[in-house]
Amino acid sequence: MSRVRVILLIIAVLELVLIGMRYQENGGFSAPVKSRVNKLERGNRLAVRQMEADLDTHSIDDWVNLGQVYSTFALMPEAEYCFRRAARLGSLTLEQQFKYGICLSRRGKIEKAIQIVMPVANSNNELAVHANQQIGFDYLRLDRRVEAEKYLRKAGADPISELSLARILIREDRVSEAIHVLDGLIARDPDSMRAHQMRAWAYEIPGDTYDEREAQASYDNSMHASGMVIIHPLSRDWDVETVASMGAAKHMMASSVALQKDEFAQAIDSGRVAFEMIEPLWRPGYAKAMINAHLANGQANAHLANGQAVEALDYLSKWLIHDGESTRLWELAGDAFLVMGDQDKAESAWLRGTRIRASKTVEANAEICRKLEQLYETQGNRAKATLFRAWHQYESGKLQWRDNNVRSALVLFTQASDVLTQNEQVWFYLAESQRALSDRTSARESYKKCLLLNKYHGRAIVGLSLVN
Amino acid sequence: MCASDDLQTAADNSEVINADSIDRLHRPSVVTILLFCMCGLFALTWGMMGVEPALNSEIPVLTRHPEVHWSQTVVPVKKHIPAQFSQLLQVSDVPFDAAIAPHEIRITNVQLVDIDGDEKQEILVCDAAKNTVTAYHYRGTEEVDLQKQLETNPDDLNEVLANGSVRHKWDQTLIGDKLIAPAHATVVDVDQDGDQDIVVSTLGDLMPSDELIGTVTLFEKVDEGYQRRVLLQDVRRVADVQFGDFDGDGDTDLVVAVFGYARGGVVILENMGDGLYRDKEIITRPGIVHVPVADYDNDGDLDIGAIVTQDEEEVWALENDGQGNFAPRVLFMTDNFDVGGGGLIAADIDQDGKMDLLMSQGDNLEYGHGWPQPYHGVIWLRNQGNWKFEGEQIGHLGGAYGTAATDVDGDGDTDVVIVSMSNDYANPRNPSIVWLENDENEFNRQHLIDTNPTELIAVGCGDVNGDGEIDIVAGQFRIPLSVVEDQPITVWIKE
Repeated sequence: MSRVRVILLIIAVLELVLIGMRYQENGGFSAPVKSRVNKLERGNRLAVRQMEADLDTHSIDDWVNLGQVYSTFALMPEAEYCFRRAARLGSLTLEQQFKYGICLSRRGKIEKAIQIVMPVANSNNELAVHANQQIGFDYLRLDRRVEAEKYLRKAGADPISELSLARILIREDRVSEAIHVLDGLIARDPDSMRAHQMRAWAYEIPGDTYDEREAQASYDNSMHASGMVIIHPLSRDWDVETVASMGAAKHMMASSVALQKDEFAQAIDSGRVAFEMIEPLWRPGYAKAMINAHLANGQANAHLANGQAVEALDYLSKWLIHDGESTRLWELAGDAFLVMGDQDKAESAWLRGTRIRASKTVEANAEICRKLEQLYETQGNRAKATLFRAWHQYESGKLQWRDNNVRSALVLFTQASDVLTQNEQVWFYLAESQRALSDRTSARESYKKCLLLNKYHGRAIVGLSLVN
Repeated sequence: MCASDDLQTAADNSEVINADSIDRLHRPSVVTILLFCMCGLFALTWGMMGVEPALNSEIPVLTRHPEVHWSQTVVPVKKHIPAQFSQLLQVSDVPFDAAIAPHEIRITNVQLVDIDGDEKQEILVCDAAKNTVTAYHYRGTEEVDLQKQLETNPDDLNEVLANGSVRHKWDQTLIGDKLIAPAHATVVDVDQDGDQDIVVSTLGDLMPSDELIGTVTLFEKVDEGYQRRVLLQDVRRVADVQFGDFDGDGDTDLVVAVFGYARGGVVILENMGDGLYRDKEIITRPGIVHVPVADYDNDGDLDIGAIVTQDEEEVWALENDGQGNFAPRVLFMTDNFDVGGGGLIAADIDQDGKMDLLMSQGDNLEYGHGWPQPYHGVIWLRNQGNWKFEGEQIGHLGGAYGTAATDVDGDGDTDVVIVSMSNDYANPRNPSIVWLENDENEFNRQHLIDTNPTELIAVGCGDVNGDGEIDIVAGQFRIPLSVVEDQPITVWIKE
């Protein structure tokens, strides 16, 4: 054999060895995935890249975990590829199969997703309820109502499935069936806003079940109930868990834990790392955590108070410019100024906060009024303290009303109305509370007082007509 | 003799030739050639095994229309921090607004409309990070003095050169600030005094919230600017206000889209004279984004359309009896809770004298990271008369959000422009703004306008530079969890 042939043979053998090694490394002929993480913040980008580097290509679990992370970040072709690779390595567990189905569903391959999830739905696995719900939702996305109903019913007594089922039944003009489902839901959860709301809609449908009074009663209930349920399948909880376990969120979680343990310096350090990890983005939620940490540090260490308050105000300034003002922002700004001993600025910040409304379930409006009351009390300004006590009662009453604590709300609105006699909204909410508790006479008087201040107050006009 | 014997003989001969004659052409044996090829094949295989799989969305790549061209320009957006705030929060010697933080990019609405009666259209912009409503006036172009630029601001020279030597000039008028998350500004002479007032809808919070945080604020045009007055508060998040004389008494009433979150509805503000309004809720449904007003049944009075979102995904009409009493009708519904209704506009697309509706769907941002779905795009609700509307998907664009109807190509019919907020922008070839060409009321051709900037939420069409051509303006709303280039307001000027 010539020397050339020997060399070529050696090269070929070497190449075969390299191919074998790469096959082993890749877990097959296809290369591992490298995702398009260009749109992710720094921490998540690094974490995903690390997962890709650490991937054991022979491990079904690793492929599924990576696929799930990709699904969370809507890198769907990458996610599907991972699940396909996992399936090629062997049988997936029911949970893994469910995750594969969710990936396909989000990718828009809905019919295939249903096929993949079906064995989970038909199993005795604890995920069967969620799988049935998922299939029901997927059929809704295909506008196939009959199949959707079947699987939503199979999902059983689950509020999200039941509300979706009720919606179908209302649209099918099977109103009494819908009401039956909703009544069951309300019996289990009287504070379910959505159930009351849909019940009102059901009774509005013309036909045998039409009932204006029931519709009005359900509508009223929905107005002061706080149980919010929106379509939120289990997979979205998994997304939240995934994000919380990586990147910036991991450090922010460490910061919160440290703060709870009164380890302020640690809380601040971890928070700083979290901020580096969200670059080039910025988040007011993270700023709030840092402000709390700095203010707590300042309160615990008097000699640091001024510096910590300045740090807090720096975050507040950035938050203001980045996202705009909010009630919570001004409340915290007032707190920071108070730590610095600047009562005038604290007052100004809180007064600005009273000009706007707090969002979500934040109680900032009530808190600001309470803090102003205390501030004026310490300054000996009784008139203003009394005024802001009344505002605090009114704002607290609205929170109680929102949370369906109507009796507590009534007490607070009554107290507020003693001082805020010229405020139409105080009289309106007092009237609404009285009507909700069937005190028609008092409600009538309160509505009238509201209408004396604003004769075009539409909701008071409606309320008065209901008690007259 | 078998074939392998032939092969061996040939190989042997070739070796002889190679060995005996160095000055003749090199002719390796077949075995050597095969070995060589094998090495090559193995090398190729090894190489291919290292190539990562091509993973991209399967969105069809669009091309531009060969005859319709625009040039893209950016409207310069200045920082805005109310003096009251900067004075209050100033605690060190560093100037408060000196680049300590940028505004987040959250343009919620753009439109081209003449707000000052000079017969030129301004770009009216709602910005929910600065919490302002601002009008941008186009002032023509100017040549950039490169020498002066070099002397005064050399750092920006590269950027200037990249954008060409001609610069578009803009002025701006602040209509109002300290508006928490303005969603829409409606230009209307609400008090019928001959000038244009502006009614602003504010959400109170961009993020989902069911609290009573929405407002309707009137900016009444007066000699020295605008006088501000709150018309409605203590309602859930307000997304839109439109107007019309609904009760036929000669004045201008308003209709309010209360988006809320899980609770919302449509509220009429009946004009009672002297600047007073009576509020009346006419339907309760969550997630009402827009309430386009038109005479949908051609009976001479103004009706109201309403898009219901937040899982319900319906389009309603509120039929006016001419006295300001409204009968609700469901025009369209889908069981697909996931379509993500983004908006509703009224336009007579087929020019048959019956007002149609265009509904965009593609808002899939509930969880921060969305993926384009096959049903994302635009639905044409074609008015068949007698309150029958036939739905047909005419545009396909992942993450579709804002829609505008206009004659893009100047052929006399109505085309459609769509922008996308949450397309698969990890792939830079995916479009962020497209137009649908109307071809005898068929929309089979979808053309690319641009792939950049991304994450566009709002679009408006009109004549920015007064040349009689249709220009396009779009507003960017950066998704909180995604990293993309900032470009708040972009104008495509038709060439």
